[in-house]
Amino acid sequence: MGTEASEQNPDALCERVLTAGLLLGFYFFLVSIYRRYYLSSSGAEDSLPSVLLLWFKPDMAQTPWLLNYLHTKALLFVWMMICLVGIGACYYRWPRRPVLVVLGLIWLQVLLYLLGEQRLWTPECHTLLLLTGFFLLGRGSVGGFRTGLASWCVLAGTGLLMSSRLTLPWAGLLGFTMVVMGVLLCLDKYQSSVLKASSFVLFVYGWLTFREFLALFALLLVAYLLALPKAECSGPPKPLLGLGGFLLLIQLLTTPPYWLGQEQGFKLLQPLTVESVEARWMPKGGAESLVLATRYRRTPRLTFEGDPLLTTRDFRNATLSLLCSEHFYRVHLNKMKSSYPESRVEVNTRLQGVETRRASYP
Amino acid sequence: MKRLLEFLAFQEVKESRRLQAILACLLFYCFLIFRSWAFQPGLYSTAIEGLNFMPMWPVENLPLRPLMSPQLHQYVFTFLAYTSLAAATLVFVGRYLSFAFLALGFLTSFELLFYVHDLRLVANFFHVHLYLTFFFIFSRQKLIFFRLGLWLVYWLAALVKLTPSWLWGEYFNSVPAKLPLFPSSPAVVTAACLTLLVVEFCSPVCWMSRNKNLRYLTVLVLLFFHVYSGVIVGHWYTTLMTPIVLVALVPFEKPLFSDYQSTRRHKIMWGFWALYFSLGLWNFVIPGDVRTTAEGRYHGLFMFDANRRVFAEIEIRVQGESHRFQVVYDWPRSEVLDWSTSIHHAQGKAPLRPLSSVVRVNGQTLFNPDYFRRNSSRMFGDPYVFYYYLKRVWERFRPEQIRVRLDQQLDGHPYVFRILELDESQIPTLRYNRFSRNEWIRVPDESAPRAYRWR
Repeated sequence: MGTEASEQNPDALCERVLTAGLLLGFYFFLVSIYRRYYLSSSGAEDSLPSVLLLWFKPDMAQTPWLLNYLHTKALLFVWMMICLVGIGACYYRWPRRPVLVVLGLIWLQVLLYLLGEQRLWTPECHTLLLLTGFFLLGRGSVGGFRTGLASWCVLAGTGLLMSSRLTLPWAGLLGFTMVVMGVLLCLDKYQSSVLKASSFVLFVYGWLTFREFLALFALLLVAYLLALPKAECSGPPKPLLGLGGFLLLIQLLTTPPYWLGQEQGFKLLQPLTVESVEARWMPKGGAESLVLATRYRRTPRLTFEGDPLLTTRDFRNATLSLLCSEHFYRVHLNKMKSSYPESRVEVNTRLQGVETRRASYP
Repeated sequence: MKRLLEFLAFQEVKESRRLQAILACLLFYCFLIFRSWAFQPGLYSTAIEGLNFMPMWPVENLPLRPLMSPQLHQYVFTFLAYTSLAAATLVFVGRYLSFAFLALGFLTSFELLFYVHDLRLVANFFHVHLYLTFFFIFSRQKLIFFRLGLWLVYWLAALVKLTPSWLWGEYFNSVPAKLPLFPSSPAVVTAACLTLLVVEFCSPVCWMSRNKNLRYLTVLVLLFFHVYSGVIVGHWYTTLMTPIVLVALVPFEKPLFSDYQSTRRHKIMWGFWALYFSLGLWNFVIPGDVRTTAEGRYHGLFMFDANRRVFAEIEIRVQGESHRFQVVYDWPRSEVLDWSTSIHHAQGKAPLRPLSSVVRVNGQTLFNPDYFRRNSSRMFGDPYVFYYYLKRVWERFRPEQIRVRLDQQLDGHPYVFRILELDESQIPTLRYNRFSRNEWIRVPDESAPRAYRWR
């Protein structure tokens, strides 16, 4: 099928596989957020605008169009269907340009979702956006994807090396391996063997840690390898290599390493650095509600003590990484200002039983 | 291996790009299934002690039990999920097709094995996946039989709707959001329900027509329905049906049976077709309304058959201590899937309080809220769910007193119908008949409104 003579360009099959794989990734992302209450019309008041949006527009009321757009579920569903049609288009070898345009539109759409909702900021979603971004900037070429892959490896590897996960025995090795793989991917030599090794490592890591997107990403690599033409394929475009370097610089400059005792930063691809969070919310003086979140496989497990009525939906639907972020508490306290003006939050984060950070808001 | 592939008519798949696309779609759906089942506590070995195990009736009395610890189960299912996706990828790139084809058979066997282990997994889209995969793997002239599989699915889906909930439009008219994107007038909603019924019955028949435009029109209508239904019931059904309808029915240049040549294998496949269809009809054979009794419901497709509110109260006295549990599945707040489940518990004479954790007596689980909370909206109020729970509690504790009352309301009607009222004198001898009426499940009497006793 893929080796038929009609495909003159040796990279063509590989490019189609990559386009379909990325569309599949977006499909899963949209499926995973489809049932989230804060993206439904009734959950609009529980939305948690992203740091970036609040930076540009401190008052969310200034962007009603964005809120309306994000809370129209039918649209989300339409995009899901477009992803499936796009995959079919790749399979049936429809003209590539419109498919790439669709991929670009979906990329923009997901970017909008991230702008409007901080709870969607996850390393998996960043991975997808980064890979697709590079692929599109390279005009849907194998070379563009390869540069994205190299950037991803280096960013994720350095993120791991700077995070407190480094205290775990396997994390340092994995981080280092990923950085090396990223560098090797930029070279023209060893490409196939590096990709094979990287796909294997990522698949095992994704499978064992239930990081679905990583496993999916690894399968994308497998597909890429299977479809990789025998002939020399296009190398990494230099401008894109520069972009990868720029992103790395941003991550390095804005994310302090864990040994400096801070959790804040740009964290483009830094993994979760804590294993449990204790958030003590004191809405009115003495009465308090304790939220204890523990990482348990895919999603953090949250337990609530005290009066459950006081523990609002914000806490019930927060992810573990969100419970570590200052932004989450600032938005929450701001929202509660009218009903609980005295409200305060104390947060402790732990890794392997050792307290890594203690903070108090406001 | 070669003989097996020959027996399964793999050559047809190898030669047809369209059949390969169908294979990829079915494998892709396997990926979704295993990925979702990897985190189902009802399938873990801990489910038995935790009273969170609810097998489907075919295996109720078989010594078939979940064996894997939660960790192992998650690893195995994640592995199965990625095997499915890898096989679908192989089809996409056109390599190792025979492996992908055999993988579909292997993965679907696993799917069936675990499917019967937990009634809460039961959903019509999984039924549909099993039907279609069966026809795809075992038939010759695969495209014709795959289309016949689709025919079966649409007819079974239409049969479920032959109740006042759909015929009188009561279901969607009683949901606050009604039909999204449609005017909320009751007449429009009822007309839409009836139109769907006609579409599901008539579309497959039109596939035999010589009129090409008519065949394509049915495909267009079905595609619209599948995409639209996704807005109401979520992505599962749409993700299965939309690509499959597209691949199997477009292009549709010749009528369904134009190239059909009867063989012995075809007769066997027709036999299976008739068997599945008869099983779908079975709930009409059992007296009573399947929407309340749920008897024979899962033998065929069951879809969303009614809007319901369910109220259950269970009283258990063990070792002199009495426990009262209340389980309420409330009306949807706005859309079909926007329901709420509340579970309360009271010990002794204390007032009822919301229950979020397991209740134990002497270190053994007496009540697990997860058992009831994980029920899908399609099986709310199914008497089997309560029957199976009460039997296990009886076996484990031999309580001094055990009582259950189960009330149901359908489609926004104020009339409350008591479907179950059992106590310790009946529970030890209770049996669940799979294919005939269970006398301990009540049916509405003359005082009930017509919508409750249409049969």
